[in-house]
Amino acid sequence: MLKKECLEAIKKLLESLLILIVIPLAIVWDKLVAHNGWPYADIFKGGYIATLVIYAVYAGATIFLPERRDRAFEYLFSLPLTRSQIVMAKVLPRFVILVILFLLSAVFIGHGVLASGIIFILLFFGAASLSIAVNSIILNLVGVSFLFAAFQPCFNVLSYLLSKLGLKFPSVLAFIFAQLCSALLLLIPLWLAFWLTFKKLDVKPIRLQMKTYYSILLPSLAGLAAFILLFYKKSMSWIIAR
Amino acid sequence: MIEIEGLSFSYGKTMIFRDFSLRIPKGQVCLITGINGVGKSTLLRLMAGVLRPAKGEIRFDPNMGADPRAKIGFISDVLSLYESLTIAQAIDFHKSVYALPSFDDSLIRHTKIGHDKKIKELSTGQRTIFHLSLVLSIEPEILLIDEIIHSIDAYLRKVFLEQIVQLLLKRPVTVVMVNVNFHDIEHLVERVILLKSGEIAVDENIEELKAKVKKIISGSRPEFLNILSQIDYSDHSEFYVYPCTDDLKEKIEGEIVDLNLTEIVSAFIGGEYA
Repeated sequence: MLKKECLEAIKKLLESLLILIVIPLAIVWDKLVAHNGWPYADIFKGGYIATLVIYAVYAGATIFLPERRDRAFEYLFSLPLTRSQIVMAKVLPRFVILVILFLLSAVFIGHGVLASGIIFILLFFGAASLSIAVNSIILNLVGVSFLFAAFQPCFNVLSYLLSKLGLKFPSVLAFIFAQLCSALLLLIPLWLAFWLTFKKLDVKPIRLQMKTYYSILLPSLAGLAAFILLFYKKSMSWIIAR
Repeated sequence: MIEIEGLSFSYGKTMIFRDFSLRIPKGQVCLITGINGVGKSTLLRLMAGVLRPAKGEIRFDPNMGADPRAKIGFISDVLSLYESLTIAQAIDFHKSVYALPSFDDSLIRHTKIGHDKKIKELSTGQRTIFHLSLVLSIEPEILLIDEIIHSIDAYLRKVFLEQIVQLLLKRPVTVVMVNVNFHDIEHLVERVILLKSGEIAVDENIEELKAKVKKIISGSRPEFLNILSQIDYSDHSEFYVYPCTDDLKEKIEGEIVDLNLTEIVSAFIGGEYA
């Protein structure tokens, strides 16, 4: 199981690297760069981060792609594997590749990039937990975009609240801790909805099995939105004052 | 052994089984039949663990271990497999999941399926045989076969059934089949279960069933018998009756004809549609 999923994860990585076919555009880009005097290193960094973002979302969004494509859920569920074994086998290889790519970014771009690592975790696990509900990668991308958009206000509000609790901003550790809390606040209801749904998932049409998913996700998101709105003004004033 | 107790299952608002119970002893070969949509394949999927009951329990022989699926071979009507994999990759995957030290691919070679061929490139017959070889590799204690072998050619069907016979000769395997070609399996089946509206309408040993279901060729309707279905001709009618016990046989005016399994099932199912 793990071997098959590792191969699948590597396949997804190679597909993500298909972005390299835009090399012809690089010639045009090159002229533009030369004309404006932008440094090549910055362009490489931007491209690398873009690949990382694409891989994080794509790898997460496609964890059930082989089963959907091959109509193999019935075979998968007939195997003597527990649901946690299946999730681990699917998530682990993809996540390990993401971590390796991310650590490499510290080599290429500088260790400063490590502070934004939480965002990649958010993108990957967000896309993975949405993958059970949405079949289409585009819809998954839309969902992840919403998640990403919610991350910044969530981070602002939590930073403000953590500073009230005595956490010293703008230290790097406080920044990472606030990022981690924000990601967890967004991911916990999503992952809980995913796990409780997947634990009981069988080969019935998926639309008949999404009650648990939505009954966890929708109230959690509404609560989260209310929480952000409640402290948003104060957090913005705090950020401006800082 | 399969023991189903108080099972309820529905697809959304469509109830399929309500408080359904059934016991299939170890080593029994059982045929489940009934009209389309009655829940035969659903029952098989529930036994295979790919569908989960809303209520009730499905128990297996305790000797089958913590996860009975390790000893259940399930060949469904959709032949679900990772189609994008090649035969070799699928075998490799199957071996790793079931921790099999080796895999006997003689059946695959026998049917001339190349190991480098993708599963999606196989014909239905080849896929069925490949699926069977995967299932046999785990030395199943329970074999669940849906009505897939209808759609394979006569030679592969023969190969398929020979493998089942070989398996049954080796050890007591519980086999549950759904609407498999009745003529092919008549000599294998010990018990016939007819489902009707999510309940067991008939549950008989095959020999008893053959003794009780008869065709009566007569000019007059045998009102004292339960008629499953009838075919009218200009000068006589054929009545398919159940149960036709010895004391009732004495009262019958007309010819009593024995039926084979295909005719018995057709009589029951024909009665459902009538």
